Amino acid sequence: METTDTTALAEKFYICTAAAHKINIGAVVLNNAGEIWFWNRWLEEKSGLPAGTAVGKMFLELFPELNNSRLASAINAALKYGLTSLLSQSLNKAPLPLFENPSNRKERLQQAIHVTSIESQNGEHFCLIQVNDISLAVKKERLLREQAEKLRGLAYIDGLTGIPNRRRMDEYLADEFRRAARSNEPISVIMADIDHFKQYNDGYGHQAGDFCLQRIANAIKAALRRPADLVARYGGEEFAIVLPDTPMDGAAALADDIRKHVENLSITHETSEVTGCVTLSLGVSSTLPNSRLSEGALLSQADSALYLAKLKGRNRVVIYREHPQV
Amino acid sequence: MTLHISDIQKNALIEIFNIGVGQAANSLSQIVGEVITPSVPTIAILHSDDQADAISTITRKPRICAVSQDFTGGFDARAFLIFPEGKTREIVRRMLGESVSADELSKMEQEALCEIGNIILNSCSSALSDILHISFHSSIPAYHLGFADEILFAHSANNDDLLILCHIDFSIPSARSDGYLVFLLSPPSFNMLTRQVEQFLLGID
Repeated sequence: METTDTTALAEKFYICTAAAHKINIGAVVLNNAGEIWFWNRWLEEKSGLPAGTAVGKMFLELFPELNNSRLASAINAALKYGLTSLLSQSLNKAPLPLFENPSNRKERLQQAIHVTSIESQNGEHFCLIQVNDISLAVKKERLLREQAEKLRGLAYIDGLTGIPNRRRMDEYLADEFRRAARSNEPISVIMADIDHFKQYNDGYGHQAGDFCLQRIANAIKAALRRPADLVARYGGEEFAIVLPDTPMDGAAALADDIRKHVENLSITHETSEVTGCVTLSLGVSSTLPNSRLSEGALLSQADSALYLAKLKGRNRVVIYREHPQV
Repeated sequence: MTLHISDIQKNALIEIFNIGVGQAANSLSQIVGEVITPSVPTIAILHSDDQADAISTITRKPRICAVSQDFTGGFDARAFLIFPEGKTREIVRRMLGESVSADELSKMEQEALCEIGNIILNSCSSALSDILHISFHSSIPAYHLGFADEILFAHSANNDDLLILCHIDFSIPSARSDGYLVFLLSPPSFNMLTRQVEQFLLGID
């Protein structure tokens, strides 16, 4: 009777061990002292360490880099307190040296690790560490994130000219406005509008009109000097330029540079009454120190300066002043 | 069965949670690479009648994000770490140091949040073990998103469970966040807890 029991028990032990070896995740069992008790086949394959080498070693001696790590404290929580821990891939970058092909230790497998305790029959805590290879899921998620970011980027770009669109400008201006208020720095905006663009479109066709818009967008972009300066297509043939930490005179000088840049493109515009070329009118507005201006007011000031530039004969820069002098 | 807790017992519990949360903050600081300083928690014990109030305290926003873990041993409890839904993204973003653009957390981000909950809940539980000399086993943490009452009371068989509501503020140099720990205990478990706290208090006299 006893022999059958022993045989049955041995058979059960054999099958359970074989099963633990065959499961498609990494499984380590540590005894109460933290010594490796079981090391399954999956781990042999991914670590290159045969069970014969691993079993009997202290886990933290086998992986000294894990001393004082989150995994070490999770093991301690299981052995000392009987607690379960989860180590997410995002917060723990590949704690164990596991590889798709351990002879070519290029890139560690991305791991999600569960640490649980197993209570032995005499009440001692053992520890089971389960390791899941989630490299594929991580890759997939990274791809999705990149795509989402790209889409988000596209939502902020003007399709025709490739420069930021009005939505992006509105958000950027709001952000920079707050920053300028905090650090008490001036901020300027320029509104620019192509002179007699409707006639250009009518005379040369929409395709030529589109090309003209693209060239002007590029010319404005090229004239900007600092990475924080931003030009956006604000409407049909209207552009807005945000200039953080720029006082009035700097903005006015830049506006005139832009005007010259566009004039120098010498895009023929025979029906324009200005010069026979495509030209730009620009309005400039700046905040003064301690002014309580809103960003909307700043924009509309630049807009009314632009309107004045049109009135005064186009191809020029007008600076907004409280009492504009003609 | 009296379900009363004295002020002294309550203070002892606050001290235990304080130690647990402090340990959790150490572990979290290592992960974030910034020093996280938790406030001393405040604790409220609520009976089933007050649970509606508790929920409205937690849910200044109607929906919450929670990580739950079951503890069995010295006494049985279901424990939650709860954040208002909108704040969770902020917290995860800070922990992961990358932008989370989607409205809902991805699977990976949910796991990261589970780990944060796991660290805090396990630390509180090991503080209880160390001080009260009782032991617990804990389950794998689970992520929940939804309405507070559905998440908190989905598994309580009867409504006379007691609820220990523990509020903690975590301040990180770059920001402040707060969250709630909620422990649901059946009346017998609650009695076991108070008895163990009482024994501990007698021991230090």
